[in-house]
Amino acid sequence: MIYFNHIATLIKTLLIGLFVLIFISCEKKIDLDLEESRTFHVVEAVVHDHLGDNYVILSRTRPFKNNQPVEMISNASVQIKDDIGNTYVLYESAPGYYSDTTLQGVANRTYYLIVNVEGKTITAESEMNPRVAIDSLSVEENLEAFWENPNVPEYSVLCHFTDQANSVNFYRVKAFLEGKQEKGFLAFNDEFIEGKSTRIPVFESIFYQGDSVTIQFLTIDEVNYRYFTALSSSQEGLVPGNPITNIQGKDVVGYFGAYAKSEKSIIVTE
Amino acid sequence: MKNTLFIFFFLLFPFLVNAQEKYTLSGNVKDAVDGEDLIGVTILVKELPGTGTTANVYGFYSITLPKGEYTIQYTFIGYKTQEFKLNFNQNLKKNIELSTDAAELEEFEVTATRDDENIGSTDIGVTKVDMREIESIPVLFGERDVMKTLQLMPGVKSSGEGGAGFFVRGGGADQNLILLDGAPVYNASHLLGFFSVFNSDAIKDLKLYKGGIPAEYGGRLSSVMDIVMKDGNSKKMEVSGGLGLISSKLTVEGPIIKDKGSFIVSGRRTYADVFLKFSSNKTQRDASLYFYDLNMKANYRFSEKDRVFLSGYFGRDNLGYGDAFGFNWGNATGTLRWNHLFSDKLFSNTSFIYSQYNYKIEIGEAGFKIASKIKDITLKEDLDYFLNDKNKLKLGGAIVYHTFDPGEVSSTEEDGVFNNTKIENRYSFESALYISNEQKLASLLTVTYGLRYSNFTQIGPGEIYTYDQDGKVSDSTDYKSWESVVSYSAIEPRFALNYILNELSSIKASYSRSNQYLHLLSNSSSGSPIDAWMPSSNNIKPEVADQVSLGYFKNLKNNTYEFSVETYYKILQNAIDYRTGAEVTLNATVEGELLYGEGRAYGLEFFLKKKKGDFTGWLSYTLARTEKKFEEVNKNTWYPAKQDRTHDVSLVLMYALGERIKLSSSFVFYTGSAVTFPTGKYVVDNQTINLYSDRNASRMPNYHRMDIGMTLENKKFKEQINAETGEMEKIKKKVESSWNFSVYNLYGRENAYSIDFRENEDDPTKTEIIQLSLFKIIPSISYNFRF
Repeated sequence: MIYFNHIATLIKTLLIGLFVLIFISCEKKIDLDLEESRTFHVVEAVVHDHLGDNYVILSRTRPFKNNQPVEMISNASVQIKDDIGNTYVLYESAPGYYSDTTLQGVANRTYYLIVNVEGKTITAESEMNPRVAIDSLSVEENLEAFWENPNVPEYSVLCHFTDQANSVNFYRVKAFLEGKQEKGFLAFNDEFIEGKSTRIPVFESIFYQGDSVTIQFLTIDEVNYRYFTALSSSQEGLVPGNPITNIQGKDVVGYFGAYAKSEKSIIVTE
Repeated sequence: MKNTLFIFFFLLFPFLVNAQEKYTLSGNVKDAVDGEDLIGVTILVKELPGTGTTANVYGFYSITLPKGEYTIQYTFIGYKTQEFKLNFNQNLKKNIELSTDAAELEEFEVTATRDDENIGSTDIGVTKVDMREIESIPVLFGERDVMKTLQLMPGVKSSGEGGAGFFVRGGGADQNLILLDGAPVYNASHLLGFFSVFNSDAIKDLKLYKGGIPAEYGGRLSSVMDIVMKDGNSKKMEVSGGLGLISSKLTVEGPIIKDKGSFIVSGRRTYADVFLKFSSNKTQRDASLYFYDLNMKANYRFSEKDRVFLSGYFGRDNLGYGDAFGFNWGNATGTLRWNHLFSDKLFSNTSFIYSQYNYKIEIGEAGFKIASKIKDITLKEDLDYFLNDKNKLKLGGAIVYHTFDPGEVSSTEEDGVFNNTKIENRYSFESALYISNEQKLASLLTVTYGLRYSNFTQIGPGEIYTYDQDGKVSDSTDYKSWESVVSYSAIEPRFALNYILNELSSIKASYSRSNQYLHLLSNSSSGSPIDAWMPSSNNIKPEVADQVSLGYFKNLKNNTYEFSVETYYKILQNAIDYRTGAEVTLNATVEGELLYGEGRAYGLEFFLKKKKGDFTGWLSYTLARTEKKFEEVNKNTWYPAKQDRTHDVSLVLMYALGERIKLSSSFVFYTGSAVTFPTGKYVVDNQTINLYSDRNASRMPNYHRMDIGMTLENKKFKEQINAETGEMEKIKKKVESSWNFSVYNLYGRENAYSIDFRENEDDPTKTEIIQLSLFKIIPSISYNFRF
C-alpha cells in the first residue's frame, strides 16, 4: 500500500534530514550529459461521473534539459465509447485539450478511449467504480521540526471517508490549491482499511494559514491504482522506469481513468 | 555427479590404509598476555618441510607424525615463534602461549615471525583484517569499523558514501553471509548504514571469503564474513574504552577463574542527537537519533576435553520525534557452544544459535504501529578431524528454522487510521550436511575439496499464492501447519588448490557452487532498515552461483612486500530484480513484483602490501564487471547491475613517527554506480514526469575521497627517582591511553549521495538536476584508554 512507501521515504528523509542538521551537507545544481529518448506521445485522459466533466490532453515528451513550453497536439480525432454502445466525439477546446459536454460517466460501466493522431492509433479502457463520498476534511499542524521557517506554521489536510465494505476498492486523492493541482500521486487500496471509517493525509502537500484547498476523492480501477503507485515509486527511485499503463499504442505514455469523484473544500485555519 | 563422488572417495583412500606407528601432539594455542585463543596459528615440523597443521577457530591443534624426534614450530603473524624439540614416542599434549612482537620483553630473542602465510595456505579469495590495523585507519567520525577497513581491500566495494554495507565481487548486499560467533546478522548496519553493528573493541578475528568458500559455509552466493568475538582476558581484569565525537564505548573483561574461563562485556552508544539539543526548534530538540550495541561473551573450561561458550549481541537504533513518531530497529543474537574433544584428533563443536532482526514504527499522530521480524533458530554440529599430517577433515551439518514476519499493522488508539491487519508469516527449514578435506598431495601441492548438500523447505501454515506473467495473483492454496509447500535440494561442490612455485610464490585456484535461499528486497539503493528478507518459495527459486577463481601470490624483499593478483568469473542463476515501481514494504503479494533472470560477474584484483618497517600500507585495484539479464528488462540484453563498478582503487598508507605517533591516510576512487537517469520528460496532472529508457544505462559521477588520521599514544612509563638508589627509573603507568585525530574527506570533495531530477521550485515549468552530497570535511577526535 502506498502509505507504507511514503513511510519508507519519510524515514529516509528524516534520517538524512537529521544528518543534514547535524553535519555539513550540501545540495547543488549540476549539469549532466543525458541521453535523449525519441519523442513519445503523452495522453492524459479522464472521465468523471459528472456531466461534461471529462478531458483528454495530448502533448509530446521533451528531452529532460529542454525547458521550452510543452508542445501540445492539435487536430487529433478523439472518441470515448462505453460498453452499452454510446460514442462521444470530443472537440478541441484549446490546443491539445479535448472534451465533450454530453458525456457523464456511470458507475459499473467500462469506457474506451480511441485517439487517432499523426497516423497513429492510441486506445485504452478503464472501468468506472461506484463513488465513495468524502465524509469531511480536516487540518492538522505539521511537526514543528519540519517547518521551513520556524515562525510560519505548516499544515496538512486530511481527507475523511468510509471504505466500502465487502469489495476491493482503489482510491486516488488529488489536492488543489486555489484551483491549481498540487504535486504528488496519491493512490491506495483498502487492504488495511477494509470497511473502515478512516482518514488519509495528503502527504506531499504543505499548506499555510488561509489557503483554500479543494480535495478530490476518486474511486479508480486497479489498472489506474497500479499505474499511480508505480509512477510515484519509480519517480522516487526504487526502480526507475515507465510504469505499465492502460494506454495501448507505439511510443505512448500517460493514462486513461474513469473516475467517480467526490469533492470538498476547506480553508486552512489553526 | 557420480564422478564427483568417485574422485572424492579416491582422494580419501590414502588415509584409510595406514600401517606405520604414529603418535599425536595436540593442545591449545593462546596469547600469553590476555589468554585469548589464537586462531590459525601454524604448527610446523622443522625436519619434515611442508608438514604441519593450523589451529582452528578455538585455538585447538592436532598433528600426527611417525615415531621419532622432531622440532615443532609455532608461528603466527605478529607473534614470536616458539619451537620445541619433542620425542614422538607417545601421544603428547602441549598448550602453548605466544607473545606478540610488540610485547617489548627484551629477554626473549625474536626468532622469526610467520609472514609468508599467504603463500602456503590454500586460502584463495580470503581477506583477513588485522584488528590492529583497524585502529590506525582514519574513518568517518573517528568510529573504527571493521567493515570499512574491508572495503579498502580488492574485490570488496563500499555500498556508498560513508556506508558500512558492501558488495563482494559483484554480488548484491544480501549475498554476504555475516556471522557473529556463528549467528547470522541480518542487518549489519546502523543509522543509514554509516556504521556497522560490529564494535571493533569486542572483535577478535574477522575473515572474509570472497571465493573458494569452504564447505562448512553456505546459504549466500558472494561471500562469508566470519567474525569471532573476543573471549575476554583470562589472566586479569581489564577495562578499556573510548570517548569519541559521536559515540563512547566501554569494555570490561576478565577471568571467571584464572586460565579456566573468562568473560567480556562491551558496550557502545552514539549520541549524535546531542547536537540537536542546541537547535532553536522545539521538536528538533525533542528528536532522538542514536544507536547502541552490547556484546557479551563468557567461556568456561569444564575439563581438559570440554569447554562451553555463551555469547550474545544486542543492538538497537532509535529514531524519534517526541510522541509523534518513533522508529527503532535492531538485531539480537545468541550462541551457545560446546567444544568437546572426542580424542586428540577429533574436535567437536556443537552450537545452538538464535538470531533475530526486527523493526517497529509507531506513528502517534495517525494512531498506528507497524512491526516486522525475521527469526532463526539453528542447531549445528561441526567436527574437525586432524587425521594425519597430510589430511585434515571437516564435516558436519546444520538445521535452521526460519520464521518470517513480513509485517503487522495495529492501532494504538481507538480512531487509528488502519484496521489491525497482519501479513501472514512464512516458515521454512534450511538444512545442510557437509564434508571436506584439506590434503597435502605433495610437499608443494595442497588441495581442499568438499561437498555440501543443502535443502530448503517452505512449510505451512499459510495461504500460498501463485502469480501470472504480469505478477497478478492467479491462484491460492491453503497449507496446514508443518505441511510442505515446496522443497529445494542442491549439491554444492567446493574445491581449492595451492601449488607452491617456490618459497616466495604460489598459484592458487578454486571452484565453488552456492545456493541462496533467502533474498533481501530493498526499498532503496543504499539499503534501509525496512528492507524485507524473503524466503525461497513456490514462486522464488533459490539463487545459484558458480565461481571459478585463479590467483598468483608472491612475496618480495624478504617478505616485506606481499603481492597478489586474482581473477574470478561468476555465473548466477535465478537472479532477482524488480518490476518497475515495485512495492516491497508490507505487501502480501510482493512476490508478484519480482522478476527472475540471470547474472554474471568477472574481474581482476591486484593487491600490493608493505608489511614491515615504519612505513606500511597497501594499494588495491579491482577491474570488474557485473551484469544481469532479464526477459522483461532492456529487451532481454545484458545490462550493468547497480553495484557494477569498473574501477575501484584504494591506497592506505601508515607511518610510525617514532614510538608514540602513528600517521595514516587512505584514498579511494571508484566508478560511479550504474543508475537509471531520465532520457526525457512529460507533463501529466500538471507535474513533470521523468521518461526513462534502458535500466541502469547511466552512471553516477566517479567517487573519490581522501582521509587522514593520527594516533598519539600517551607515555606508557613515568620517570621517578628511586628512593633507595637515588636513580631515575621508569615505571609503567597503570593507564595506557591514546588520542586519535582524523579528518574525513580531507579535500572536501562533493561526492554525489543522490541525484534528483526535479521541477524548479520557483518555476515548475522548468526542470533541474540537483546533487546531494552528505559529508564535506569532517574532523573528529577520540580518546581511548585501557587499564
